[in-house]
Amino acid sequence: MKFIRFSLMMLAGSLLVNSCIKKEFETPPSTAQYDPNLPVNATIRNMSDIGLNMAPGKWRTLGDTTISGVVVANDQSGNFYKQIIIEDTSMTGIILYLDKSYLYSDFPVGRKLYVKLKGLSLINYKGLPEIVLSVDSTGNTTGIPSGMINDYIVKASYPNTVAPLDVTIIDIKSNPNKYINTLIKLKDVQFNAASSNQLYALPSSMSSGTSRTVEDCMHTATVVMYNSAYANFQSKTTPTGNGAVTCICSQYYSNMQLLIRDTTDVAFNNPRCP
Amino acid sequence: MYIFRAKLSAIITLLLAGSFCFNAAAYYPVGTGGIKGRVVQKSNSQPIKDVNVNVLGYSAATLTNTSGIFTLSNINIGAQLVIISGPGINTDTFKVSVPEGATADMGDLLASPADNAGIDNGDIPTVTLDDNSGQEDENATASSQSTSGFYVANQDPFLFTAAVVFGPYRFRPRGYDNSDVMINGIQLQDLESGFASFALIGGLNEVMRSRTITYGLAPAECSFGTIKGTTYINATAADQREGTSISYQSSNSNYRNRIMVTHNSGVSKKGWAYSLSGSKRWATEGYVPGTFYDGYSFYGAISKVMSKGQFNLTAFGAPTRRGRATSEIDEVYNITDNHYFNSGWGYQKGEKRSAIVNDGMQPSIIANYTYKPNDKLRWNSALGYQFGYYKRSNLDFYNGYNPNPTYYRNLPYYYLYGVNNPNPAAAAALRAQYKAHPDMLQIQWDNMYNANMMNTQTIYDVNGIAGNNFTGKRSIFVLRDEVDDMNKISFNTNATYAATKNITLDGGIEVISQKDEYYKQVTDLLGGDFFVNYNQFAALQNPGQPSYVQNNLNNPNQLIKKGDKYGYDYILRALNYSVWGQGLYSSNHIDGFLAAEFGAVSFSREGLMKNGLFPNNSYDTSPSHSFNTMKIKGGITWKINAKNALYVNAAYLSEAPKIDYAYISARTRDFIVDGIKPYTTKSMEAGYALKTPILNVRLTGYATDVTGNTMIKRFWNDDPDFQSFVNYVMQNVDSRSIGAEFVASVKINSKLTATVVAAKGQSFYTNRPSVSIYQDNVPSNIPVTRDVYIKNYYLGVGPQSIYSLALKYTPGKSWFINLDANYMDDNYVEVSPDRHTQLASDMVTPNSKQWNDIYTQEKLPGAFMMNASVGKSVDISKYTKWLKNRTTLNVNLGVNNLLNNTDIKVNGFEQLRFDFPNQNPYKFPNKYNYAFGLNYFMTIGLRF
Repeated sequence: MKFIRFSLMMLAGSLLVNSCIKKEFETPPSTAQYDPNLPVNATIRNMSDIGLNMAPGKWRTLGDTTISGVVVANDQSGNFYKQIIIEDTSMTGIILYLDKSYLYSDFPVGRKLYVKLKGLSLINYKGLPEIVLSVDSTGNTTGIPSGMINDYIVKASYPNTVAPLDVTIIDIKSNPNKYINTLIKLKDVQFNAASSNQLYALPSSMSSGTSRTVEDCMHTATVVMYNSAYANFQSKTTPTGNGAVTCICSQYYSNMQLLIRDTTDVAFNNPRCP
Repeated sequence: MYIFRAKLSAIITLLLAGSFCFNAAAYYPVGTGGIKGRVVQKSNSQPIKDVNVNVLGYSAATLTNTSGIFTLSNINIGAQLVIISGPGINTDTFKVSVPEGATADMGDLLASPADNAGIDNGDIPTVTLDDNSGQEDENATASSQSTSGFYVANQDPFLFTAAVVFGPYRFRPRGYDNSDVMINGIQLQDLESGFASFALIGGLNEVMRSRTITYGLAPAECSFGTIKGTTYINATAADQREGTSISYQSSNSNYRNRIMVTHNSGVSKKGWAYSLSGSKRWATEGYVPGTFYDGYSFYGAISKVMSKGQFNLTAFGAPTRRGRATSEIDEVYNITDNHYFNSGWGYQKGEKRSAIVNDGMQPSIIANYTYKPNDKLRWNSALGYQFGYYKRSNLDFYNGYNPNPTYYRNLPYYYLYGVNNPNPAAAAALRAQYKAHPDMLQIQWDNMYNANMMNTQTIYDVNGIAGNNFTGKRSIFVLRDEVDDMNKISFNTNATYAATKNITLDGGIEVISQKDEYYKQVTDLLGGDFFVNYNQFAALQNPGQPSYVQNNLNNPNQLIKKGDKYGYDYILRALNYSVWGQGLYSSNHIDGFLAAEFGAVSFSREGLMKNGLFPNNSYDTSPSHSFNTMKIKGGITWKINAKNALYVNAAYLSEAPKIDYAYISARTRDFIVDGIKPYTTKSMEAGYALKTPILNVRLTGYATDVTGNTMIKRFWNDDPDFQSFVNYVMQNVDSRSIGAEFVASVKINSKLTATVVAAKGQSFYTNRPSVSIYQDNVPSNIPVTRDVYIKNYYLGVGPQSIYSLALKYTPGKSWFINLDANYMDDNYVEVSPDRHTQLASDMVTPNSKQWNDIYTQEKLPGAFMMNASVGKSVDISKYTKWLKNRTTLNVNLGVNNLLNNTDIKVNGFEQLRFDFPNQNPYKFPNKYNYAFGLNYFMTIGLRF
């Protein structure tokens, strides 16, 4: 009897105190449909022009301006590092230098962003307009620290699509400023003989990046595709076929080069032009 | 520093040579006569049960039965002092002359009621004996957890102070880390870690209170023991104090509330007894922000007492989930202005959620039979089974940023010391940012959920089946457990036999078989649909080797859902057997003993995944490995007279390396550390003791050398050049612990007792070991090997000096006040082997500031703290009729760290990462944890 009484007491006691502690946490809402609709008072074209009109290494701090754009390139494959590129309806893109790795998880391609530029700097970094936190007297740039990204960048809806501009090698070479940092698509092109069936990039032990050459069917117009040794497709082999490549139009000082986001951008599935 | 050390060594050597010493808490259960008697109330001659009876100079003790009667055997002939103590009575001593081969009947011993009648001193320190004090940091290894809970002896003021006062400050007596704990004859420690966790019996204070403790090298009755001593817990139903107790405790420590209910039947006329105990300890948030506590404990036991023995069946367990706290660098504590800042949690939908949770449930069942046909023989045999899991959670990520909010690249100092072009303005801005928004230094759950929900990807050839493609939300971040599923079967038999009037023989056999499966398990996909069983970094480091990414080649491209195992999955089996024997000699003035143990440890690994990096060394059962062990110890005590004793003990042990340290990285492969071998321990202690009714003094010196040890430090090196688990295998590590311990207890008057405790020790490395560095993400088994210049660096074993003055005042009937003042010092951060290599300062000017900052071992500041406690006990049955007779109400209040000193760094360690390119010691500064500020417990208990 005493035993039963005791057991009941124990049971009641444990029910009484069970439980102040819950086990499951509620799933946070998706922010994919969120758009704060911040007032935008400049286009990326405006910003890009300011950057391109400065000499490489020159920079200026930015005033109370907000731009908006959709992510067209990020660091998912490793071909970009600590950078995302956003593009707006002015069909121009600009680089944001954020001091954080694996940016793609917060900023996947197709995510709309608002960038509050006040206090940031715009630099012409080796030919490319780029938004950074600050630039020191010797021209070294600092990206936006991870702990301050949310102060400047407001994440909005996902996904959005940005159609690449259909262009030719001659188009971009003849009017580079129009296309710098912008998503483009070159049709009917291929790697030239020396660059096809090669590693996309030599290993990092040999070089931090490798230039491959893309040509048109006439073998007359050519442009460099620069691939990072730290990209996860470094050891993949360049295709021999012909087709379209979607990429960011970029330059190193005044030398034009193409940057792919991943090898899925290279759709050289047609027979090679002889 | 070195001069002092030399001096101390000299003093110790003198002490040892001169054999000034004393036998700690241990006295030899050897003898040639017996004592019996009855303890009764002085006032009314009513017998008193549960009175503790012991003989001065002996560890053997007994409790009076319900008739107040006690017997003690194996006591030296001649004049002896019998001490009675216990709840409700004043401690008193009685002289007796023990006859040879017979039992002296002392008749009735008259006990006077205590001034603090009814207070059971055993109740008082329960909160500090529990795992409710001190912090466990994220990087704590088994051996760095406090084991002091086992070392509490109510009667030994040194051990009491070491455990209760300094345990929360990570004091480890003599700097030792191994322990030997037995419950009803079964070893509590884990074969693989060698560590006995106090958490296994947490919340079972009531039924685990009967402890026999030997300290140091003194002989124990039931096992060979360790150099630290042994704790034997007698937790059978028949040995519990009859009655029921209910208590509630309120605290502001690791948990906030505890209820405990215990009922012990006592032994029935037919010899049956049962005992039940249960408790719950909980806190939605403990002392450290974001730490919760949810612990249950249960215990059930039955005993059958027979004429020549006693059979017991005992089961207990303490399933406990608790949030951990992190260790941080100074900058984080400064920014948040909170020494208890914990980055291991974050808000999810407005609620605090911890990512770092420990969850353990490893209950035990023990059956034991004690055969005691006469006063000469006691033979206990026990069979034990323990099983269950221990899980540690944390975040894992694939192609994601490190979600740890205090990751070094997120912190201001990174812009000063971590980048090629320091940017003080950015550092200042970031610092201001975190100061204004400290919640940014917590885990950002919402970000991880959103990243997972946006990351739609296609996995090709799922489960290795061509064309079996799957598209869905691939989790970048997951919450996972590192799981240890254990099963242990133990058998132990040991006997004590009083062979002659001078000689007692002890001995036993032990066999332990343990099997553990270790694996990682996804517990929350955080909004994603699946995770993939890939090793991202192996692929990154070995381009062109597509199979390296596979954690399990037997099931390539496996999608991992909630509850699935991934990463690694393997079984370790260990078998340990040993035989030991001990002979004790006792005469009027000289006691001596000699003990030896021989054994063997064997173990093997069975891989359940075929790792892409180590396809031939990861899957299936690997050959087993074994080591023979040998332990010898002996000692002599010279009992000058009834009050003074000198002793010296010595031990030589050759022990197997920890199984976890035998494998370079058992997670992924079966490679054994090159030339792994047993390590040797040589230990010596000597002491002097004085025991009078007024003054108890003990002075002990000790010296222990450990040679040829193997240690492995493993950590995740997220340096972009590594991105790998790295195993630092230190071999041939030699260390020494040397020091002195002093305790004096003075009974100033009938109401006031003062106790002084001091321990001054030095535990340090004595050679220059080599470290071999093995990465987990490259298939090579050829390590980088470097010399580690750590000779004369201290071990990170907590404060190595402690000083305490305690006053106990019992001003009136049934209450008491304790007050103690304490100081601790010589607490050194644990060194990182790689930081003490030549390469760490290559090209740095010797003795420059940078050079010194690289190599100097940081000493944590000394600290002063005070504690107080007060207790009162009332027999409330006299106030109402409906309460049982002798129903007592106990109230205890304890306040630790009265001065609320929140600046006590209780532990620190050098980060295992080091900035080799720039040799900048500030890039990865030391991490610390702080001791709790003022913390209290208040217990109300009813016993009937």
